[in-house]
Amino acid sequence: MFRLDGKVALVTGCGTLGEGWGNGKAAAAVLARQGAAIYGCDLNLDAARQSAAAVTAEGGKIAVRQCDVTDGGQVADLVQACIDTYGRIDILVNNVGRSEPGDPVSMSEDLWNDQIQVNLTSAFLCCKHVIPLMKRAGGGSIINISSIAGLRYAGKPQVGYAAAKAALMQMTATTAVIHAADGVRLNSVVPGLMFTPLVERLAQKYAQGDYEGFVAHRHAQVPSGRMGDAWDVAHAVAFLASDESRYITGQQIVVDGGITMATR
Amino acid sequence: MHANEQAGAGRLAGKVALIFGAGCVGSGWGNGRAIAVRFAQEGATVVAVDKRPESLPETLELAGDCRSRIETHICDVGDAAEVARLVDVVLRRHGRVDILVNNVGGPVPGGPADLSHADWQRQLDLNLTSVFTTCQQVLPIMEAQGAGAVVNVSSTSAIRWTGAPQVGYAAAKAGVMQFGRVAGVEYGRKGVRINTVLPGQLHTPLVDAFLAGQQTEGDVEALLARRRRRIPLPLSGDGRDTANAVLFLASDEARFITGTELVVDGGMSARCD
Repeated sequence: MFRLDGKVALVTGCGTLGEGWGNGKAAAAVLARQGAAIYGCDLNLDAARQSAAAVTAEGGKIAVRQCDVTDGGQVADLVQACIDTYGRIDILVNNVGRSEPGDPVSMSEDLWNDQIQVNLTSAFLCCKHVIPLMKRAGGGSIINISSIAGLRYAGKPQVGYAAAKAALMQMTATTAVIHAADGVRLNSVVPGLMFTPLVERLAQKYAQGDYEGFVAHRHAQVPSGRMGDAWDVAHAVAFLASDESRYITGQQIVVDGGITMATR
Repeated sequence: MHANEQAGAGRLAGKVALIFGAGCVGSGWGNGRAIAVRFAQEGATVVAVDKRPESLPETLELAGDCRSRIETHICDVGDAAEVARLVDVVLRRHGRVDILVNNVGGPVPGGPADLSHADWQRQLDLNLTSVFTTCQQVLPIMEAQGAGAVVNVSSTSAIRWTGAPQVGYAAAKAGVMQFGRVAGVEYGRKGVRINTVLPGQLHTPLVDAFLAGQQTEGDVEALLARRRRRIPLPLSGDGRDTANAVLFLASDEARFITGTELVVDGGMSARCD
């Protein structure tokens, strides 16, 4: 595959509690398999440590720390910690995000602001602190994890998440043009309905806890008949991180089994 | 180092890939030639097809040690019966078709007022109907297998004005993109994925052979310089960049990706300034 030996990847939201594979954990694992050294962070340090243990168990190199990436000071510390550990950052995966239910009528102003912070400002802050380092080093690849909710109504009211993810894609494209001359590439991976450990939490929020029904409904929504999983996201991330995509910037890879190309 | 030098991880091991337009109009890394070589490097059995016999030896030559995994065939995708015969030969010899790549195409200059009706029709035939013709033959095979991946090569001309009038090409390439979207959804439950790669203004042999003649009175360097001004990334892409994108979409790494596009253009289409 596309080797990443000698490269360092900073992955935010890398934590998954338990045996399952969330997007951040799978991205960390795949990048590590390709030879990259991983620096991961999560709001939940236990989750980050459990992901690190899984990556280490298969021979990967990874260090983690706790970080709230909506806080600029903490992001500055995170980036410094990665530099202190590995001396460079070649790949940044902005994977932090969270969907909360609501439309403009039902969602509180505070929750709206929180949705923009966690889904958009988090990536802005990481770009702010990482791009200067990549520029100095002659280049790098930034991959922002968006969502098809930023492209379509995807079956549940989540207006803050949808708006923030759409904005994230445009921040990515615009920043890609601005920093292309520095050799820094930025692209979005746009997952559709994915069968990750997060689905259980979504079932609590959006389907009154009917996990089985929620999962069956999500599988049926996808033209290919099944949800994808975190590995599908991770492989797209690895492609965009590698030199095989050296001429791709400002773009999106939609990983959704075709759902955004069909009406109901 | 070019990423292609990292070849050989077997990402397409055991797969039979049928590539239409695997030659090139000139010497060097055209899209189809690069795709054929890259697929062979990754372990695929490559059926490299082109209309022009003289275009295929260089494809084999560039494949180096992997050339034994490439077999060449002559076929005009403008002739549906010829395509049907070829697909039949491939099926009898290899028993399956896992990957179909449609790379046949090329622009003719002209806007709606200048392009002759005959040239318009020929542009649609060459750039769009060719995709329909091969898919009509191959999709039933993939459906029967319960698996397959189609990657069609379109162009950023499908989504933007790209500096010169070529309305037949642009319309046909947009058609290729939408063809992939709707067929991708239709074939989703059949295990067949269909995606489109949109190369931007790469420095392929097409530039030297045709485009400079069409757009800058044969001055290749003038055309390249004009293009550089609209491409954000400070490097020149070539057919190998297209090939790596096609490889990703054709491989099992992209098993959940269908009905979509991957733009390989150095960021050109992200700006309009």
